Amino acid sequence: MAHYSTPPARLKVEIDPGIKGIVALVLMVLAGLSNNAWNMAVVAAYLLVITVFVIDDYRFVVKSLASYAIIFIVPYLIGLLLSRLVSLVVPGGDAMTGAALVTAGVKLLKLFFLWYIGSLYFTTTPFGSIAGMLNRFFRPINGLGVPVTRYLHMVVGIVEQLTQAADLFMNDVFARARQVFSDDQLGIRPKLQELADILATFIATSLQQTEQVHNNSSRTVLESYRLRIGRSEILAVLSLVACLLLFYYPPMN
Amino acid sequence: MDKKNKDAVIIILIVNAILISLLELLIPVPIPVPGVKLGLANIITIIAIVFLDLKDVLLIVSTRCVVTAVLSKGITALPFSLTGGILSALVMWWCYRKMSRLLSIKGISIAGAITHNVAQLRVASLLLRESVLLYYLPVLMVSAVVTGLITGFISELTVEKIRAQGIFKETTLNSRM
Repeated sequence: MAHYSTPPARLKVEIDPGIKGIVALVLMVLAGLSNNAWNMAVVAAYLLVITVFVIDDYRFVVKSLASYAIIFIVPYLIGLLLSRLVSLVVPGGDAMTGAALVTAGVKLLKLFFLWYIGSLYFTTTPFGSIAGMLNRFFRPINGLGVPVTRYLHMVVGIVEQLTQAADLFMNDVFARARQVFSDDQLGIRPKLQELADILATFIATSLQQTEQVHNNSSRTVLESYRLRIGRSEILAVLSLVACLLLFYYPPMN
Repeated sequence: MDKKNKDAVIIILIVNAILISLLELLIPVPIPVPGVKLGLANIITIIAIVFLDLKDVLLIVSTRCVVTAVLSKGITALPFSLTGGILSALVMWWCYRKMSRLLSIKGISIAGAITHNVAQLRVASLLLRESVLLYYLPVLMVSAVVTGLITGFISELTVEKIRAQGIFKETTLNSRM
């Protein structure tokens, strides 16, 4: 039996990965189509409700916000600052107006919704279930010459191998590298040379395990996926329908 | 090398790339810029460029991006890492095959880092449809030169040592040995 399933966040409710995937896709479309404050509020409220109802550990919300800020918000703010500076220095340079800033803010918010929905799905779904489901859905493509099953096996093999190799790496390579970089007597060049030595040895040793990795990989079994429809799945679909109705028919109309 | 063994080598290299990137916690980035990483996983991309063929290089880069995105639960970052990773691998592969007389591995690594940052920023500006993000480009270019130089320095030494040890003797497809 494969042990490649990464533990998801602690869940209050388990939902079939396929149904959850469809709900996530519909939500992503809704987030993309949002063009007024009401639409955004509905999507945000629905995301808040499912976060509260589905997971028990909110650390991923902070992680998600932090990674989004690093990739989008910080470069955007620095870009904005630099564009302002350029517009001050270069005559005729175009600084963003208030309306343009609001439009940019709306786009950033929409993108955050997409970001968050993706994170929420992968945080609440074990990797093994996702691999099994993808294998089930895309199996017919194998016949067309696209080796989906082979790639999924490879991905699962990587996750298994990572699980096995991580401890060894941390206790050996990481510890040795830490020792090198904590040595104040060494300059940066000798430190990097030492690191290259450590890495070359590590790569050489790991490549000697080709046979073992091949054997492990050939024993890997992808989880078999079967659609499950229970109370949680029905509630998920009904809540999505309610969200869709609220999204398209605001109560004040 | 048969397909199964090749898959195993590719699995090992991807696992190594993910593990090696953990070492970034130890190495201080000379210019701390938000969103800038050393990109130590690039060492494995360079090793693959030197010793394997383009198809394997692209498989290694794309699978590493997918696995990292799934395991870090940051799947929405996949378009960025995939675009940056694949384009920088293509540029580095081309530089290595066509311009290795002019460029050392350090130079190739810098070219890859610049491509990576430009591609990621371009994707972000396309998604947001905001050109203001491109003002961040000079900052990212400078940091790419620094991080590419560091990664290239380690890669160059690692490639030399791997060559000296003859690790890829049986698996090499395009070795220049």
